[in-house]
Amino acid sequence: MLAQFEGPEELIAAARAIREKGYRKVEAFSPFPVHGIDKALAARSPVLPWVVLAAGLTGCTVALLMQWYMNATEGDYAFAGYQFGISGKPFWSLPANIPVAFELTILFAAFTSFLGMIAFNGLPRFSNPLFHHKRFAKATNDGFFLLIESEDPNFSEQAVTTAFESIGGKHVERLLDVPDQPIPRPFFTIAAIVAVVALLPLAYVAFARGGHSETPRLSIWCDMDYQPKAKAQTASDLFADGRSMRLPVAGTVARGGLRLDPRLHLGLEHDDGNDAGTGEAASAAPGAAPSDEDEAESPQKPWITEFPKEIEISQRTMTRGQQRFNIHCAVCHGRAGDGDGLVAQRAFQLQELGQAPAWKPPTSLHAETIRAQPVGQIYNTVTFGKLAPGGQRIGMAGYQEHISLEDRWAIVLYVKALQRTRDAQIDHLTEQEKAALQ
Amino acid sequence: MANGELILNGGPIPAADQRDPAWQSPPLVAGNQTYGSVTDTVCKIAETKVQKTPVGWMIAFAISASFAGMFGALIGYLILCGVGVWGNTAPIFWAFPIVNFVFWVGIGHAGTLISAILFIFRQDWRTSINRFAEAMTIFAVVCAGTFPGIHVGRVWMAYFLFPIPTTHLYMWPNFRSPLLWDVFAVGTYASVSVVFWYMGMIPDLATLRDRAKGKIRQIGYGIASLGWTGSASQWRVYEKAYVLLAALAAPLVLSVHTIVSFDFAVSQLPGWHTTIFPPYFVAGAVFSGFAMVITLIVPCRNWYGLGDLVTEQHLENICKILLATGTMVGLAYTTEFFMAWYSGNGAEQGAFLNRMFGMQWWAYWIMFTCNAFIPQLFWIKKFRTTPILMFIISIFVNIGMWFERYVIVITTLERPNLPSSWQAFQPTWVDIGMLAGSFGLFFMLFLLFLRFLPIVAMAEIKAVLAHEKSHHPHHNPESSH
Repeated sequence: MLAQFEGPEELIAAARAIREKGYRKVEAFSPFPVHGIDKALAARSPVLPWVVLAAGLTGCTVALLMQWYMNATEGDYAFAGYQFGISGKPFWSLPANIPVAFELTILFAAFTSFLGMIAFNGLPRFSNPLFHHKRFAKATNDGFFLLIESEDPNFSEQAVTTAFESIGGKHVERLLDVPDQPIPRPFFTIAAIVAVVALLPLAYVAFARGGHSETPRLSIWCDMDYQPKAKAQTASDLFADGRSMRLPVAGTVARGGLRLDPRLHLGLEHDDGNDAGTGEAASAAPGAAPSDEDEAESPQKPWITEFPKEIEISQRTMTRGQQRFNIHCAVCHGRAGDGDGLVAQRAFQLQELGQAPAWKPPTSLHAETIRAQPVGQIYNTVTFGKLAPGGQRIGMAGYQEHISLEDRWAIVLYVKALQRTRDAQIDHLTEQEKAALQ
Repeated sequence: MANGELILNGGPIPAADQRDPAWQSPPLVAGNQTYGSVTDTVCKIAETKVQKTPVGWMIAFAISASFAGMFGALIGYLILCGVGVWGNTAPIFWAFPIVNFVFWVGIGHAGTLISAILFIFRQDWRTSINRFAEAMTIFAVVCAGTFPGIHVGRVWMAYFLFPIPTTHLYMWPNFRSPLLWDVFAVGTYASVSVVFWYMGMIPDLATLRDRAKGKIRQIGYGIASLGWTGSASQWRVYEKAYVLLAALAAPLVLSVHTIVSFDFAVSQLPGWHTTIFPPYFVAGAVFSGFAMVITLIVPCRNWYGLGDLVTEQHLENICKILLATGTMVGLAYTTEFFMAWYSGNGAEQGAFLNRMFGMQWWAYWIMFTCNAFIPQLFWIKKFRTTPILMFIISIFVNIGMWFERYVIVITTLERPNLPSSWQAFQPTWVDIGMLAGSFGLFFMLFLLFLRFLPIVAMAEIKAVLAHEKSHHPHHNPESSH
């Protein structure tokens, strides 16, 4: 039963009066909160504030834990945090974490008070018997109403009408409980289809993340993956000759490219028109003679037998050569030059297991052929490398890119000294040195 | 009720509801308003048929929407071409986007201040302007949030800002960075403001629902009002939740601009590294926000005939707040100079002399004149009570507060500690276009709000009205039916 009253004061008075008559299932409706109605209806105060307090504390705890986990802990599990070093400050210090903790406290508490309001009021509820009542529309405008539900133990239509009228209620009317209309079935079907379709892209992304693909990935934004640039050995539309690699400008020499002195740069008395001597370029040419013949023909080349005058023959150069030799050469040739460096040993092992690739063992520097080589030839080998018999691309690589000119000559000096260690005679020493040894 | 007595007409005022006696006369709601007439006045604005939309609104909407469209287009241009389309350059990496961000966030603050802090202090005069101000907050925060969002450059990477656990990225945010605090502060502020605004609107949306003619409006307002009936048990929980939200939003609003100021103050640039920034920024934010309230409410009050609900007394009150905060801001400007001198730090002193007399001296003097001098006119009562005059002053304040952020960001970044990095800033047309476009977006959203939502908090006005009726029976309003 619904009755309308004049204004807020009348509503409070009526609510109090109707409760005094023994009715308990009473509800009041007003367009704005009427202060005093709760007392008149003997309503309990809401528990919402406690829920909000709990949510606020949760927010604070979550924020602090999150920051501690992400910036101050470490582990080897999935999604582990890591210690974030900033200017040598401690990984965990509260002051820096207060702002985020504060904001999350507010965020959690505020959303809880809003959602709590909705939940405690049983909203959203779009179908309500009250909405079928014409006059009730005034409850959100300027109407003040009291409602007694039929579940009330004292409820009888006649008695309630009399009671309402006796305390100044107007338009006392009966409300029929209209059953909630069920949501039509197709709605659920459509909602389910929409939900599934909406999940498909996400599912595909998740699937693609775990799988492998042969095709290049699709880039919505390419970032810096693809840039207009010329790569080595490619064609280019930009230049008339169609190549992206450019030749040096006529009449120029690249830095370090000036090699006017064949003695110093090639180890030859005079330039024979073939830079690489017995090295790469010569043998790699199609139909080039195998290097067995190289060795046979090598004496024919005008190797220098003395060190060039620019190279200082001294203990300093020797020490430098030893150091460079131990860095660059010893891994294959061994520290003593016997061709038993670590790389060579490993290759022999693999060879015994039948797993070694094509492999030319490093030459012993004490072999007769090598001992017989003039310094120019050794220098040439250090500089340009030496290919295996048959011109295969295995064998020693040239070291001119890795080792400077002076250091290559120092290595040659050291190699010569190494070779001397195997056949040195007491007569080779000067009198002073003999005296020093005795 | 404090004393447990049932109170009818003219009884003692409950302690919690006591109001400044100065506010009982003149009344908060002028004219012979009734509950019904309040509803009519407010609702008829939103209920105008679409075909009868006022021409003025249409023109204003067309202009602001086209600016908003330009904003969208410029953002697209920015995303396609990169941040090079802006004037940002080393070492002025922040430039216009951050100036605009701080400006718009500041505008937003007045809304929350009016709805939350004045609510807690039981300043009933807020009821007629709070909905306005809250809407203003939200639209301002929308504009504000856009700028740092696009300022990150590669916007599709913006999720880097959040602590999202992913295996392919495997990266956590640095929680010692003020910029990250800012993400949390502005994010919380935006979402809590929306919730606060929406929750305040639910009873009024129910009013619109119950008056709605036509299916679309009925369904729209019906869904938006969530089935609100206005029962005593609903109001009980609602009021509690509203007080809680207000109590939460009040410290929030102070924290947000404090944290925005940390973006600057925690860095070590001369001119930024000062402890005065948090209070100075909050005062400036309230100042600029209230100026924007005046800018918006004076014309709306005229066009929509809300003179009885938003009385001259309300406007005068806002003007007094403008005067107070404007003076605070002026004091902060002066204090900064004192601190620079007192610190004995050459770089610090140089920074402030550069602001005043350097390349951008004109920006500094626009700022100082508009913010510290012009609002002093509000000492004169005529300026506080004449809408057109306060409107003009509010425009000056808006300009001045934009330039305040310009001065803080640009002049400081132009002159970092390393003189070889010194650079002059020059905005591009995209910078200017985006600033204008953000105003377009703001006004477009605001016009939509004016057109379709209850622009004044009816339920709250009615509660104030009931209060006045019961305590001032000499007003003697006739019953509504």
